[in-house]
Amino acid sequence: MYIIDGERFLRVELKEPQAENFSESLGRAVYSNSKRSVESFKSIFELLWNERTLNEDLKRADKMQKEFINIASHELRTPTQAILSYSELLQKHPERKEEMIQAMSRNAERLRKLTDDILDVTRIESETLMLKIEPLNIGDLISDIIEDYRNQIEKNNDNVELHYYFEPKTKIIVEADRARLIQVISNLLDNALKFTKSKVENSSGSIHVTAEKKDTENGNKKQEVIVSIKDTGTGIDPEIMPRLFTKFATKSEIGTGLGLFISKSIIEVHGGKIWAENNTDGNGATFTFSLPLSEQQQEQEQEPRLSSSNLTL
Amino acid sequence: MNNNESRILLVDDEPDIALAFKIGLEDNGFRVDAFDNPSKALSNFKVGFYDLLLLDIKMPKLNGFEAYQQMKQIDKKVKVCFITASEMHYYEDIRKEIFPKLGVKSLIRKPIRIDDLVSDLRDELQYLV
Repeated sequence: MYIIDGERFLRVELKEPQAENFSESLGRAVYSNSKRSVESFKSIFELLWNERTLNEDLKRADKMQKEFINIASHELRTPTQAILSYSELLQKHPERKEEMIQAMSRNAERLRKLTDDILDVTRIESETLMLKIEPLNIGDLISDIIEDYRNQIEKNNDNVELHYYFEPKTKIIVEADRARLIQVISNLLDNALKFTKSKVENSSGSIHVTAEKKDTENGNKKQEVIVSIKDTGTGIDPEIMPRLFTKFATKSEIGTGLGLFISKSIIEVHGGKIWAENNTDGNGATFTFSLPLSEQQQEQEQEPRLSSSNLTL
Repeated sequence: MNNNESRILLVDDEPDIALAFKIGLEDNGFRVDAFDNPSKALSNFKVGFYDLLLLDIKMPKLNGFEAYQQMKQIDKKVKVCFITASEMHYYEDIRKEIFPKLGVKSLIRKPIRIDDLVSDLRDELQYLV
């Protein structure tokens, strides 16, 4: 028997051993002059719908989990292999000491970063991510991070310009975990840098970072900060776009592939949103996130308005 | 057949690993041509030149199995060992059903010590000593 409604269907077997044929069994099962009996069939079907949906969700989640474990184990075993092999070879090859130690160092760093990321993912999934919330001037915070990245770009002689637009006099205060916020901004800058550098070597690239206050669009008179990072890199592959912020976003040669998933989780747990789109001029992509402004700051800003209205009286 | 005559074609998309395996295997008497890119390896592939292929499975653009099939078309007799950092059970079906048909015996798991890799490859080449 198929039970079909506007959006789902369910295949059900009703057993009525006393009945001679299907219609009789159905008749016996369904026939009733008691409303309660019909209601109970309805609730059985509802239960079956939900169970099936649940089962499908479970199967999907299980499959995703297995895939994640497979990707993670590959990413863990690869640098481990390098470290293992070079530690075996180092003694026998003193003439290649420099090269081998660098390779070990490189892979150890990769392993370190991956360990942190996998643990973050575990914390996020088990909802045990601990945040240390404090009021932060996000404009200044980004300033400091930009400075570090500019130094890094100069040191590596990268052909990328990093611009930051933000009105220094306006205080933009958010309630957030400083380290985690730095983690998100660094992740987005790392990506912007990576994909801008990987474009044609001779051309130069640029990254524009902006931070500005805005009223939220849902008319609740709250304010938020919008931070956007626009690059002139290779842009986002439309195939990857739908799973960009999931754990299965593919990665380039460097990077763990988990950064955006972690960034999204951090932003959302702070009450914000994060999104990405390719630039309309076809040159690179822009990643943007929003965070609610600290209540305190919003209150402070209300006051001057009150006093000016007093003056007009 | 002894070590000194065994020529191995190694393909692993991780340059650090390709190099480490090359050095480690050469220390043990093998002659190794290592590539971190299967297309480069294919364009350097000649009939009868290699005794054994050592191919990483998970590589972008062309995976180990595909590379092997292309090489087999050029040299039907070449032996192969596959190596992977992925979960082994991922390839369980391939191992049970396809490997025997292709005459492939080894799916080696990373990380592996060089000595163990050497003995796996020697098994495949069936040394008499």
